[in-house]
Amino acid sequence: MTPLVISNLTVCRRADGRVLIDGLSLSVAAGEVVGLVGESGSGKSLTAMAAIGMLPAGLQQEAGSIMVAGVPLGGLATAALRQLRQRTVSLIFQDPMTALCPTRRIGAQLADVLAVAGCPRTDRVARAMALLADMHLPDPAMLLRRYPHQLSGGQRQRVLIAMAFSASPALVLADEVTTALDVSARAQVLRLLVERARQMGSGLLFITHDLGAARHCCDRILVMAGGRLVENGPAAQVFGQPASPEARQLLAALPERAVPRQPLPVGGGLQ
Amino acid sequence: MTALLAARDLRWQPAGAKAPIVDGVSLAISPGEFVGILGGSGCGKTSLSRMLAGLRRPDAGTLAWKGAAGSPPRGAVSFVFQDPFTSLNPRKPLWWSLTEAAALAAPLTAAARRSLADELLVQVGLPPDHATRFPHQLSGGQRQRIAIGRALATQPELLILDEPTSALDLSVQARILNLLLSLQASRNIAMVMVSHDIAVIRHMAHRVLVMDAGRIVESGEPTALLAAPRSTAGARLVANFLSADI
Repeated sequence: MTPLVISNLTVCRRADGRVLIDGLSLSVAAGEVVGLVGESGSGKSLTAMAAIGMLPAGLQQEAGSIMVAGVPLGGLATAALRQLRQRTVSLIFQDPMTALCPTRRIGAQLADVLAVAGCPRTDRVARAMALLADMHLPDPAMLLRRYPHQLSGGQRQRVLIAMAFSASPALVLADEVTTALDVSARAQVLRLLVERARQMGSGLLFITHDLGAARHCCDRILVMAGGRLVENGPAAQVFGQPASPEARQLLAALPERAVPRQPLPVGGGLQ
Repeated sequence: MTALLAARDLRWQPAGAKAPIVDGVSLAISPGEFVGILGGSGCGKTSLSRMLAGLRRPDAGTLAWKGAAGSPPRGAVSFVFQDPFTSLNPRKPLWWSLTEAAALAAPLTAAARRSLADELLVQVGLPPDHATRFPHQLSGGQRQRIAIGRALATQPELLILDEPTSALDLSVQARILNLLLSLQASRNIAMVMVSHDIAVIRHMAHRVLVMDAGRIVESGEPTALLAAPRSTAGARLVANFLSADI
């Protein structure tokens, strides 16, 4: 069953009818790592929210369909939707500090997630330690007793990845998961994220504005601009020979492609 | 040429820390020079930049400004923080934030502050009607422009920037980098930028310093140094950097 298939999705703002996602179609296969890149406001995060049936208040799906692991989201009852989010799809957020509860130990938070995934109470500690060990976190037994503020940013993000994969989800949505990390932590977190998705056969939609990260870890790159998909292809093709003017514009702003200390080309849009 | 700012043997070890955060750093910054400081988390680069700006007092070591021993005079060095949202007062209009430092340095009438705010907005490429807006009404890139405008209010000769574009999109980052280049060209302001983004430092800096465990372990012209780093820390940074270039 394909983890995610979005067909002709259109999302509008109720108040003024403004189109925020415009006829978007994409798919993520089992074990595939797909990068969704684009500028702020291009619709990347909104696509992820739509994929788990969590469009913000004030927005509505005007057209199109979303299938997660073969289940159409449209018309799904609240209980069924909740079960889908608990067992079939996981979301990893940008800021691990705000995604974890600051007043509860890591072990208690992992146990909650495992309970939802159906893990028996007696097995939870061992399973939590195994999940942390899979993330190459040192001394899992000690880590279970720690609070989020006692961990580094990279360690917190690895805990969230462990949680995200605890229910063996068909689909994982990772939204800017490496933005808050430094260079070495970023490389490590990316490696673990991709390794885990491939091991478990989960489809991974990796949303980022970090083109370097996308280029290095994704099988396929999707570029969004103005709510539309403007590019879809292997990383080498998208980064080497982008077909759309929007993708060319995006890549032109990379400092590594510019002559040192010469102005970088910029288009219109956000300042 | 006399250095604009020279630091000699700066050291800082907070109470309870097992090792110094900044461990005997000496450096000199020339007028109009752009110096990049690269290093991983916890290498001491942010602590060093705060000492250079006078925001943190070292345990040992000295600073000299234009050859004279002592800290730079008030307003001569400005600092731009990483997060433009938390560094601006959310309850004050932008004209107030833009001119606060200037008003502390010398008494200014309200009219003079408004006029200075308009001037600073133009310098950072924003329309003067933004003066009455509040930080939450701006995008991340616009807020970082305001933070740079505020830093320019005292007409500094040295601007210290701590990861000024790491929270921004690629095209917004490009606009901020272009703004910094144009400010250097038009006003000959020296700049020190702390970053872990090799591509940004290679693009912007005349000279790069690599820090590790509180020390400068390597320095040189960015393109040559980053093509063949000699230090373990430099090699690690280059190896871990995920370039988007093919």
